[in-house]
Amino acid sequence: MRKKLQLLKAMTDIDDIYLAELESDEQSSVQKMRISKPAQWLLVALAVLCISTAAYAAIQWNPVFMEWFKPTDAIIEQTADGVQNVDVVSECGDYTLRIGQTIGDENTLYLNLEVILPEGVTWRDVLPEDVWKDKENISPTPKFEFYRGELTYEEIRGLSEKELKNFKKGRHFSIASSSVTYDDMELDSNSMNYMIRYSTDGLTAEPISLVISHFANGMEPISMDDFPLVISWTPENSGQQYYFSIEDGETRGELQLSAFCLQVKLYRFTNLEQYEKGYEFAKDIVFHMKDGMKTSVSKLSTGSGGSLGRHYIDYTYHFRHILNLDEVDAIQINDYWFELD
Amino acid sequence: MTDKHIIELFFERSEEAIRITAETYGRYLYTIAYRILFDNEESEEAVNDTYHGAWNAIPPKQPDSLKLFLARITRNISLDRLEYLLAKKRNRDILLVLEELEDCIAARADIEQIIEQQTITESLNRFLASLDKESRIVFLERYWNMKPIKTIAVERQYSESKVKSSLFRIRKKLKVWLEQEGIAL
Repeated sequence: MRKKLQLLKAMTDIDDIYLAELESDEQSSVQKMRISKPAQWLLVALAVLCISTAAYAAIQWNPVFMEWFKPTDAIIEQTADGVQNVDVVSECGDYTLRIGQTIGDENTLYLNLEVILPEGVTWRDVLPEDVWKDKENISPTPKFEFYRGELTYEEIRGLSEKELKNFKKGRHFSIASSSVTYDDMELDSNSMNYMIRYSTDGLTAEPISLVISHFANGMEPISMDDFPLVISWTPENSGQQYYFSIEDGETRGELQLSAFCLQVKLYRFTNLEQYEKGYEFAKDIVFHMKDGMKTSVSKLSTGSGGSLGRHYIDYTYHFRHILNLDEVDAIQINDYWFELD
Repeated sequence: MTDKHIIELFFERSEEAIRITAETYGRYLYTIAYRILFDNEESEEAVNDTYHGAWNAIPPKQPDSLKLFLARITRNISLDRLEYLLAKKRNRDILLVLEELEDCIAARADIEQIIEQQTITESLNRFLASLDKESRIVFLERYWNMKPIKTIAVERQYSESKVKSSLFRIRKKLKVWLEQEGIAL
């Protein structure tokens, strides 16, 4: 820090000609601003008009989600309350984070995150050379976590990973599951698109913050200036949910079904061996459709993420495509049947 | 009253010199101090110390531009004060400016023990001469005037992204420049 201060101090004594040039330019730019003010007001008025008009338009799915989910008209109708135009932008030093739209419900969020560098600056400029040198494709992955409440870049700027962990106390969402996908990075572009999925309990009704602590290339963390980055917004996504419970002697559990995933929570499993048994119990889940077809959960989903709690285990099966709940008649786990009304 | 008249008052050891200096340049000097210290009381104190510094320096000094002369004193006092405040991490906005400059000096270089500040200033002068006018102004608006990026963007009618991108490139150039001049090891 002292070195940088020394640079600023050394700058104090630069030649007068540069400061005179700066001063004369400042005077002319003040004049320019005064002239252009009516035009600015006009732009503000137009922007307000555009925003007001947009507020009454139906929410369109953004192309990234259309490509990802390939929804039918029925799905688009079914998830009308699950689509939120967030349109939030967060400036974090040289990085700009942008979330345009999110899709999900109270427990699962899909969001399309753009990480944008300033115009004319490319990823090749900011990534350490050893990350991209002699490599055709690289895939730096943002390492992220969600926090309750609104966090500003000012609050977390410059915090180390260790210091960031202190923020977790009372505000960090426990992870049910998360994933991030992306295309291979175009090193000579200035933006990168990520599809992030996050599942946990109670994502709606209060602001949340997505904090990117660092990038990693494979397992290797990439050291970057300006990190950690943060973007906050208030999710308003909602969707149909079905809850079922299992109460049968030793076997107790809960199921939660939405258009995005099936969560299975089983109690009285308290060690790894029982976890394996629980997995065996829960893996043969079958969806019975109203048209008479039946499908195993493994065919519908991209796999399950599980966690072991003190007295329970849970699995979350994320569906490859958004499930049309109107087409589901019942879910079967071993001898247990759960009918959707 | 012109700078020449104010300087004459300093030479005459008239206390009117301070009053008129404050009237003419007080607000400007406060802005410089505040952009570094971000604290009303600290900034006012830095401006008062500037008047005191000018009183002690003139005579014998006879600055060509009183405004720039005073600005330099304010900046120096404010940066010195900042060193103390940084220990308490009380000023996050100036930390941002300093973080941006981090790239320009290699971490392992122990330059304060090797290179005199004057050498860095001379190198900076040559660096500024190497820049085109627009880049030079954007750079100095940020790191001499300490203006927020948003303010620079509005004043120059650029997007904030364009200002950031411009600063990014100039900092990269400065890093290379300082290394070539032996300032970064």
